[in-house]
Amino acid sequence: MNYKHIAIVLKKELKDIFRDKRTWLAGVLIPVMVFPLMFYLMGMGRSKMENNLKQDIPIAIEAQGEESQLISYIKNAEGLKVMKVEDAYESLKAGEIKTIIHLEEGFEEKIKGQIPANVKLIYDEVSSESTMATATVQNVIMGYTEGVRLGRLAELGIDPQKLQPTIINREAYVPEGEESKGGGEALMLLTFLLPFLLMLYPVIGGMPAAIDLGAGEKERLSLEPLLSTGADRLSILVGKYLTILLASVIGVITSLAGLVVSAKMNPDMMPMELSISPISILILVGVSMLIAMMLSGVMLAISVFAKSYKEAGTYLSPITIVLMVPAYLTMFMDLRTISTNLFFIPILNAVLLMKEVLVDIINPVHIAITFSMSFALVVASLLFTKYMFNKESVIFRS
Amino acid sequence: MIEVRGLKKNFKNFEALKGIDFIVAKGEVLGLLGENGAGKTTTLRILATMLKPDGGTVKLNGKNVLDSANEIRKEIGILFGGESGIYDRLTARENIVYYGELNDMTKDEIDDRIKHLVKVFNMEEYIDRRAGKFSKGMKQKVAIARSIVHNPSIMLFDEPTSGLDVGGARIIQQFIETCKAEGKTVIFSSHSMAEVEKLCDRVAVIHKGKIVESGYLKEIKEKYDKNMEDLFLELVGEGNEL
Repeated sequence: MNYKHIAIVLKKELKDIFRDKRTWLAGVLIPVMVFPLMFYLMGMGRSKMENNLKQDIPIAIEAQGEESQLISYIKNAEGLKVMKVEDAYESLKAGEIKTIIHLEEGFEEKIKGQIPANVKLIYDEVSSESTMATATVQNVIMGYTEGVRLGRLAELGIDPQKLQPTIINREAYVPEGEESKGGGEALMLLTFLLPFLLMLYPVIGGMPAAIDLGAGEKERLSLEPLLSTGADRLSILVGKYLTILLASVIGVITSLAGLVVSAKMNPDMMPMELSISPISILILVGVSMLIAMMLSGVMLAISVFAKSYKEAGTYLSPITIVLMVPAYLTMFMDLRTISTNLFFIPILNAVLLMKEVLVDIINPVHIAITFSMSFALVVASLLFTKYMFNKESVIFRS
Repeated sequence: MIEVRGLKKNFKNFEALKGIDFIVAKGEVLGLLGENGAGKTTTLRILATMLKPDGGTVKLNGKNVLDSANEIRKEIGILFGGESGIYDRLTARENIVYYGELNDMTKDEIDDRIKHLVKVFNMEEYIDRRAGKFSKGMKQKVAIARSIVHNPSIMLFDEPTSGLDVGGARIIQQFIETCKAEGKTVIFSSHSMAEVEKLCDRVAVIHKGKIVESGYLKEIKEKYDKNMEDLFLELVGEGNEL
């Protein structure tokens, strides 16, 4: 292996791939743009829905017999607007009203007779506005119910507090010296999204380069002249491998930059108050580098095997789907009770370890197993790539 | 000088070369003739150290391909036919520099050599333009310049005019004549008998992995008293089948 030749190949390949629009598109533009754009559009949709719900919610009431006090309560309630419509169900379907309040026959009599009376809230399950508005309507009716309950207790001379023996408060345990992780959706989103990105973007960023440097050389018939130069085959291979690795790392960095920009642009959608310790960052970087190294080797080996751009694309595209599986599999796993055995499963272990360190669970055994397994995989992928690049039937496959 | 003795090559159960022998002296042009699949490209790939032989010995300038592959590659230039295999997103100069650097030339050596090649092939107008929009002829010139940037003493041509128009083929033929004039050792595989008659000192006819005839062109023609095309068809048995 000749380091000078590696550097020559690396310099040429970088120049070549960065003059290719596909590299900029897949490695830089898409990763940088996809999250800001996605969160911007989602934010726009949410704002529109929130604005609609801030206005009085149009509803209809179906009731028979004596006018109930509940109806008067609803008519006077803030945030609701009772509409007079000919066909309430058609109006609901058309989105003109968000909920139909159906009071059973003899509702008021039952209330007066202190018998539980049925209220049915009918909503359009297809409409998210209708679903959310119904929750607001339910709260209004709960307010009325509470008023009636308190009135009845007062009539009986009972202190309402006597009927509430417990008050429940939930509080997350934060060990001394540590900060709260914020919990909830933000934490779940980040512990899903970050490992997902660190797995997927090495492939998205490195794939165009991998295809071009392997199958591309074959298709443009430049591989044989290249192999007949003074450079040995291993130096050429390492130069190409480093190019793909660099493109993969750039893909990861740009996607992370896109994520940070999204969080800054839209803090409601993507809260980023989570603080990550330096040791966790170090482990995250280490694991993601090992994944990028392994995937770069695998992509180059597959690309060298393929005869054309098209064939390489067909073989490489499923890798992205395969990598999504562990990200989704681990989505609902409990980080405190993960079995150590799972850390022996390649790729899955990397996702689990990233999730752990994001919440500052530093388990030396898990770290050691994951790094050893990942390192072994990197070595295996490099040996496989070297084997493929030296195999005559692969290089001259036509 | 190229020396091939008892060269064998198998691909799984297929015997591509069944023990071929030939010698090309310094300054000679050998025409390697054969049908598609006869073993011409396999032979050239072994000479260029891209494939390893399964038997026999192959020496280029006295060096064995099995022991001195890296050194041998610095002494050879190889040119393929059809598509030229140059990098479209690099300029003509960058394409040539890349091969010069991989053949361990210094920057000054490469610069001097490019100046010379640009003059020889009239590439002044487009040497610093990206190759993507070049015509076939322009690309072919860049490919030639790239293959000889390190001034190799041995040139291997694998059907170099295949797929080229008359102008493109003429460039290649002139280049082979130049190689001969400069005393380079040349092996040239082709389907075109007219090209072979025009350019080669010696020929070797390869058929189903064996050399069925070899020698000086003039002597072979005298021996069979036929033109090259009839001679070739007789040697590979096609005439009988027709």
